[in-house]
Amino acid sequence: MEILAGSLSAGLLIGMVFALVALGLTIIFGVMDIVNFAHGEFLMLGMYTALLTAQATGVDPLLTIPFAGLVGFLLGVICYLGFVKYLIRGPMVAQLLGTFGLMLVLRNLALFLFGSEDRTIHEGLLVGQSFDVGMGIILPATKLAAAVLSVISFTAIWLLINRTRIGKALMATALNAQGARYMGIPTERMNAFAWGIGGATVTMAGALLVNFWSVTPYVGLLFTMIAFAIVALGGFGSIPGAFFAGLIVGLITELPGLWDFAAEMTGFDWMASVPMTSFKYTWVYLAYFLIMLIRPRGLFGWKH
Amino acid sequence: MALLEVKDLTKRFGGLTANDSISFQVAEGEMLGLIGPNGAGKTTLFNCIAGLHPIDEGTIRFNGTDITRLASHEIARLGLARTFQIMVASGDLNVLENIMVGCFMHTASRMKAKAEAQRILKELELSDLGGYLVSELPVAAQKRVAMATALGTRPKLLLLDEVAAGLNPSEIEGITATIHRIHAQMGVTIMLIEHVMEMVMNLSQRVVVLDYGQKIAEGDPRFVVKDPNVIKAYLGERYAKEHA
Amino acid sequence: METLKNALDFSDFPRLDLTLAATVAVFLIVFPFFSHSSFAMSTLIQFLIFSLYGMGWNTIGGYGGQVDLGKAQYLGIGAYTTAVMLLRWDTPFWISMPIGVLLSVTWSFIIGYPLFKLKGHYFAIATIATSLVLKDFFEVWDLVGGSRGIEILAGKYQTPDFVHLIFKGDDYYYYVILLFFFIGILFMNAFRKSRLGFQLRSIKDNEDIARSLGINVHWAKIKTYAIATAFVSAVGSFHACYVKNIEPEDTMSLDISILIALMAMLGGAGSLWGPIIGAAVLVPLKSYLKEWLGAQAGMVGIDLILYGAIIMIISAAEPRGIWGMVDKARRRKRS
Repeated sequence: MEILAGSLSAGLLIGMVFALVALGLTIIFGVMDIVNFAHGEFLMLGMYTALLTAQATGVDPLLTIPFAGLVGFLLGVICYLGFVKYLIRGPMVAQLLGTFGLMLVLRNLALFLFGSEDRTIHEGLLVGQSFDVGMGIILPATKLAAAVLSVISFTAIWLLINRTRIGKALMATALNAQGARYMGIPTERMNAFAWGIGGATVTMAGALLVNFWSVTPYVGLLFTMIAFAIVALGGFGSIPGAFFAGLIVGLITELPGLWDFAAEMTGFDWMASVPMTSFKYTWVYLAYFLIMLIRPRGLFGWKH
Repeated sequence: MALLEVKDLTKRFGGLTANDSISFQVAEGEMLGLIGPNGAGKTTLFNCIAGLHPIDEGTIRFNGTDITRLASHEIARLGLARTFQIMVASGDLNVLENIMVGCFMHTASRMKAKAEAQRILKELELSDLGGYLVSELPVAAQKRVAMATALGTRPKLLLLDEVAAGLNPSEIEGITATIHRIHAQMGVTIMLIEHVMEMVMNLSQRVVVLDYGQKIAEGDPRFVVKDPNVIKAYLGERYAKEHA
Repeated sequence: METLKNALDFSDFPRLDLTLAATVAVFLIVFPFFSHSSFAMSTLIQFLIFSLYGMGWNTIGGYGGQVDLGKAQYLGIGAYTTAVMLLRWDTPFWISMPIGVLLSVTWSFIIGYPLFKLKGHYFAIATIATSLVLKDFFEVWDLVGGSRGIEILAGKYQTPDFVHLIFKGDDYYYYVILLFFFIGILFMNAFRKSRLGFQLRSIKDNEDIARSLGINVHWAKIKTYAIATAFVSAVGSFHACYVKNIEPEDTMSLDISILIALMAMLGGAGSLWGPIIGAAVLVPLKSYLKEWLGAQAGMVGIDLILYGAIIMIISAAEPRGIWGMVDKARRRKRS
């Protein structure tokens, strides 16, 4: 029972972090229909930003979050204005491959600048701390903080989109860019803004992630795929969808732990011989595939 | 037995009933006009018959076969073809090749498909234009290419969706003649949606009138046009009352 | 034998193109007789390999318009089938290669049926997902050596061995793949003129119109996907014999899938010469960039940065690829 509770809580917790990573992607896709292969690289850069700033200035890693967010915002805006806006005029093939090129550039830039060794944050207010809530549920402080940030960000973005003028302008651009332009909405600026927010949320996620997940220039791809799966599962363009899909994906990654536990308990040898934990993310991909077949719109999707 | 039998066809989109219990028949060799004000549900009716939308109620029988639940490509294979308002099989292929796409339905041989396509081009007086891209042609020619494309499949019944839209009077004369040829010389039964009244009068032996999704009149066009319900549908209640 | 006629008939190309193509063909045939570095030879072999991958991809991705980013999984199936059968049962290449194709095509039908219910981004991501799942599976499967992969020891064979396709020097490999290359071009020529080729182009533009012309869209896509798979798998089998050392990370990775799509797109997806042009530009570029920049101390990654930048520029500036530019210019001159 305890193991079950432990797995569930771990899954939900990491799920919230995954959801935050995917939030930026869903905003960008919702507003302009472009799938960003370089999304994971933004995360990676956010992780490096937080790590290096904390090491250089000696401040607590938690305080680097706003700075990482700023870096992410700028990065997003620059990518849009300098490159992506030329990409959206072309066919989908070109968009996919263009952002793939961006991914290569960012990844290898990081490789060139930072080298390929694993790095994590070792010192900080929350590093290494955890809360034992009983029933086998142990909540590491860093993951908890990330989850809290996730909930805050989702709420903030949701409020932004639904309760502010600028949010409505974003939605208008998302639904019908041409029409939005006729209404006097500066769609170019809206697109850049979407990329800015998208970039900021994912770099901030990275700033928190690096407290419990080591960073290398190659860490981006896995998160890009996870983010894709989450956004597709939750429905492209849906913010609450991304959150719940994130939770589901988080739980899926914890399933192998449950499987191994079940293998132990039941004593079925064949179960133990299946290396489920190395397949953690495989199940995510499979889940994506299944959902796409059963309900292509995703859980809450409104686009297509 | 009629070539096409539509019985109680109903199609709803959410809260809107686009086609409400529509019934009519098309006899083999006929030319039937489908008219009605904008938004009456004419194109939706075509889409339902051609299998693009599943219908909510009713049945459709074509040439003795129940096609109500068939997929659109299966319906095409049975000999029911249709045009779309903008119809280009492929923008990368030239006119001749576009028509070949339809011809490939009956043969796997490129030579045979090409010969058939050339024959159709000749029949519709498009032979000179075979080498152009469809987008390079003037609108009137594009409309003829659309019909030629559908004809590649050797249909028994052809549904024409507003082929005269956007044409000037002399072009309308030309396309009327083409439709006439398809009907008389190529032996294709035709049902056409049209807004240009002279065309409908000149071509159709019978018309069906739709308004707000319902069939409100049917019969010889000369009499249907004087039907007060039809006048009301097009011109409004006041006009109908004033001219009753 | 109309298909054969279709394959050999290049008459719809302007004379300039055909002269150029013939010149290149002659060059390719006589190249090994002139003095050359082994680096140049291996680059050319890579060019031929990737041209073939690209041609295969082009059927479903270019003519069909469905962007497939998971082709590497079939490379893996082809390569591993040949490698495993060689090591275990001494199977000749000419038997293991078709078996690899059979396995790949079977797998492609199994996942193709559900896969093609999707379109656009969803489809692309699903292809990535299936490819990564298969790769993960290969990395833990003992039969194929898991993540360490398989190694073929050339020393165990009496070279030149045409049965098992093991040679000491590159020259033999070169001519085998060159033969595949020419066959591939003839096949693609027949394909684009075939009924399926026409149907695909209609599907790409507008599926509703395609259906109204009697085309079973879903099935046409699945068939084409199988053709693309066969290409990639066959060349994958060759790859195993040539490289002799295969592991999931470098035969089935996402990077390779994307490279394949990239070359076809760069050269001009949806055209006969496109994938070849794309490979002709990108393969030497990647090789030489790596040679000059990649190995130098402290410059790690620069080659890929440049490579990525080039991809970005082409995607933004001319998404229809090089052939698209040529075609556009010609059309403008004609009108």
